[in-house]
Amino acid sequence: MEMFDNLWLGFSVAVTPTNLMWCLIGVFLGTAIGVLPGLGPSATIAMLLPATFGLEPVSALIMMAGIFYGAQYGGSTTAILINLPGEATSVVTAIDGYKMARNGAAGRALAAAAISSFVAGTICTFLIAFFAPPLTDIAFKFGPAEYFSLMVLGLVASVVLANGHILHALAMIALGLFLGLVGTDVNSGLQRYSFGLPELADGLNFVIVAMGVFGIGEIIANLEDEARRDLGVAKVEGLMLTRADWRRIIAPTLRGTGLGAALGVLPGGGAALASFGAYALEKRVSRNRAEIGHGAIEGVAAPEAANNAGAQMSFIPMLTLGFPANTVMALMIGAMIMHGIQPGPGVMTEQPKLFWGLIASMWIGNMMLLVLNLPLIGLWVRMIMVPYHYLFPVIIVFCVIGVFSLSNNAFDIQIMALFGLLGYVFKKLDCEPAPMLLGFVLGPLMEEFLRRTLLLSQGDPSVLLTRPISAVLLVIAAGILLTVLLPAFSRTRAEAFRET
Amino acid sequence: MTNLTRRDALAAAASLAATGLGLGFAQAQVGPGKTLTLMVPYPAGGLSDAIARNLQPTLQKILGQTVIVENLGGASGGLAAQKLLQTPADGRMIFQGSPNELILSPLVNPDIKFKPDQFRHVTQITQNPLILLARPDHPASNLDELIDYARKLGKPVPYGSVGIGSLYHILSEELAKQTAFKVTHIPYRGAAPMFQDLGSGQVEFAILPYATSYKGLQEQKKLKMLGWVSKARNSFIPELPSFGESKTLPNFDHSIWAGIFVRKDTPEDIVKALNVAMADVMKTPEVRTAVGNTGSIVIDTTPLDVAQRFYEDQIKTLDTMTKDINFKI
Amino acid sequence: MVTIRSPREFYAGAIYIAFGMLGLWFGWLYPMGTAGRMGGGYFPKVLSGLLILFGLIALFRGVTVSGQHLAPLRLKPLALIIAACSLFGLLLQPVGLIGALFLLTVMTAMASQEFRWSPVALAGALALVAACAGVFVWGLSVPMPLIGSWFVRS
Repeated sequence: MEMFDNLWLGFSVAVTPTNLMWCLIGVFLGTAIGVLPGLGPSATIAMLLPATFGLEPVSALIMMAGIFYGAQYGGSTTAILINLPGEATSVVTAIDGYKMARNGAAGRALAAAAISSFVAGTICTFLIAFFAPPLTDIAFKFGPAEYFSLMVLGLVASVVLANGHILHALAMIALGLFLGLVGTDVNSGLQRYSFGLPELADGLNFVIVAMGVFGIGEIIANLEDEARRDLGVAKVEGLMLTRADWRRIIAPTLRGTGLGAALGVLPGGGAALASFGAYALEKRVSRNRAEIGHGAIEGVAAPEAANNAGAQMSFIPMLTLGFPANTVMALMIGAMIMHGIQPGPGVMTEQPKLFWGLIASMWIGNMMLLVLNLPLIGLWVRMIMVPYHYLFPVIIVFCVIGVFSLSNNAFDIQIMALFGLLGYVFKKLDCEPAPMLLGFVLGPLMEEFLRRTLLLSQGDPSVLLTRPISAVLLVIAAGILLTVLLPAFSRTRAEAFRET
Repeated sequence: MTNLTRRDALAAAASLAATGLGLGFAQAQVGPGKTLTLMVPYPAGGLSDAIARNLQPTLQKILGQTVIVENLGGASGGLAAQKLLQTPADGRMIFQGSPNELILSPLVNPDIKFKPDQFRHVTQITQNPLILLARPDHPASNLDELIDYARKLGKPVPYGSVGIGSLYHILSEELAKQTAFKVTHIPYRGAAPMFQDLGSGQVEFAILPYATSYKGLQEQKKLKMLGWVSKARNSFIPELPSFGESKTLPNFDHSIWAGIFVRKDTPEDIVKALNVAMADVMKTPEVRTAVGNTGSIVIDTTPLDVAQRFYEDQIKTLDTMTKDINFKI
Repeated sequence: MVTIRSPREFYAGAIYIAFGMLGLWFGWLYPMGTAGRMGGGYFPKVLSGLLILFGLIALFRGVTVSGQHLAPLRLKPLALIIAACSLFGLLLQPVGLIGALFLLTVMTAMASQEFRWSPVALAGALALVAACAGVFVWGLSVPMPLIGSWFVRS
């Protein structure tokens, strides 16, 4: 079969010693920068891009891809261990992962993350190999209306992330969307809420907000209750998954992979939704849904599988059309141009070695990550067993320097401190910040897509319901909202009755 | 979301590896750091990005500094221009711009707060022919047929551009006005994101600078080329008709250019060094071929005073043009 | 007399309203545009309005539904850590990384109940400073001065 010939060709390219080496360097570097707070994969790849000019194009791309998915692994490690999600995609992993870590189950959480990512990566390698060309066309079914509705659905689904009343989840989403407005409006060039500060003209940076709200806010809250914090980590359960764990993560991993694969193909920010969506889905359908949010292994496996699947699938629009789904893909396109390869539909036919070699290397890279990461789990777990009063100043130092190095601007540290304060207040008031972060990431995109939708329809919002895909997405969103709202209302009434 | 500005953080690693690329010879370092950012005001995957990526390796070799290409799209390139103005005027960031973001958008968009004269033109690098594109399944196959189609459509025709106040926005409005049909402008951050909506038929047409990648996209039925926005055909695709051959707009003839810019208050010696380095870059045969292959016409670089006079002339010309056609966003 | 029955609801509501008011106050002049051509002011106003609405509901719930009382605030860790981060930002250029980072480490460590002045703790802080200088300044070339402008004569 032709597909198997292609994969064979790919593996024959990917397993040459040189390419194996660059793959290993890539995933290793990726894991390292994923663990270091602040330093993201796109920054690293941008830095290394000029240096890869001397390599064969396929080696350069293999290494960059390795950095990209390696960083996904590394990012979930810090999210689980110290509640520091370095990327939007690991925000939800932090919810249950960090709770597991505090219950002494850091090892199992890390193992679940690594294994579910590997499974997702394997499945997606084959999905790309078999379906890359037809999958490309899915992206073209999505116009601005569909993207907007997809994001509405994503935001609505994220209300299940919060444990408290739905009101606060909705308010936090609105707050996140609002914070996303800060900066220059991409359509008109209007400056909004930048208060004349040049540092804000570009908008708030996700890493700064996430480090403030999650990292600093969490540390302050922990210090209030220090005795219990140290006690929590003292007892450490096994490092590896138990038989029961395996049984619990299979279905969530597969569901997460499916969702991540579907959303990853969309170049308009679909991948950011994958992990949130997978988590929300588990909270609805998992057998242990009551535990999710309180340190359930499903809450780690599903989003991790989804984000790895999404990351992997985001290569499709880049490889088949030359359309970048995210910053890293944009840099890969840049790398191809630098190597004299014209990105676009021709890559698959004119550069079959590069195309299939890259795809095969992704599976090999995922394998390497698993082998690299599983033995490291013991080390990580020992790291968080360090007494908290030694650990937390180091985390703060890393946050502060990481934020500074984003744009070498000390002003960013002040913004982080401000969000640290806000994060602490939210923690105190039991307002879950994850929906806010999702709103923050999606806000600018949503506004852009809604404006475009209304321009195309000449101001008629009904297109959101007359275009079939968009309508289906909105109906699902409405359904979720209703199922969450109705019990909430009846609970409120019950509470009110009890009071009177 | 992701921020590419951590250019110094891994400079060590990058430059360490770069030493293997033969950076031994005489170097005219520009700016204070080991790294230099080449700012591209549009997202990756478009023509500007392709040109920058082709300049980057040679510029890096000639300067002996790591050169990083940063893409920042939005507000017709205004976001990137603003960022340049926020960066210290010491040459650590250079801007690969065009009249779109530096001249036109501040002229016509009151929300853009910078002015064209806040930038210093180092040198022109390319001239770019413009092309009229349509959705892949468009019934029209040339300008006249598109206009005919548009007049009969009975509602405003949606078209895409790379932002409010871009030359392509202005030209599309002017085209519609001269041939009396109604249009709706849909702005994007750059050409790359627009192609998705063009490919799915959400927008009907767009005027853009020509890029070689359009050939492949046309073969894949992701767009359709309708004609050169000029009197004569262009040798990049000689079989494509030109506007000059049309009945409706035979005199509609436009093109755009790209150049390298810095902040106006950048010290003279740095600007000079950059001008010299760019001249060397643009003389290199590989660069000429590679940039030519993107679909651009490579222009010989000029001394600083010529470049600056050219830029000032362009500001005047475009100012008159926007006033003449009474362009309003 | 209205009593706050659920402080959590009440204060969260107050925060939402505060953000909403700020949004309206500073975003009042942003153009709304038309239905077809939405202006830059549309989203800010809608979101500010939503925040105020959610805030009012939460305030209402705060006085009608009874909820848990908030755990008492402990201001020491909060103030120390926020101030330490902020000070580091202010002092990095004038004092330099060594001084600012040492101050940051000591101030944050003081936020812990376990903190005692001891030679070991000081040595730990110094080691952290040295490690950061090594990794970030020499290793990764993050442009932070080791010694700041106050101490270097120009």
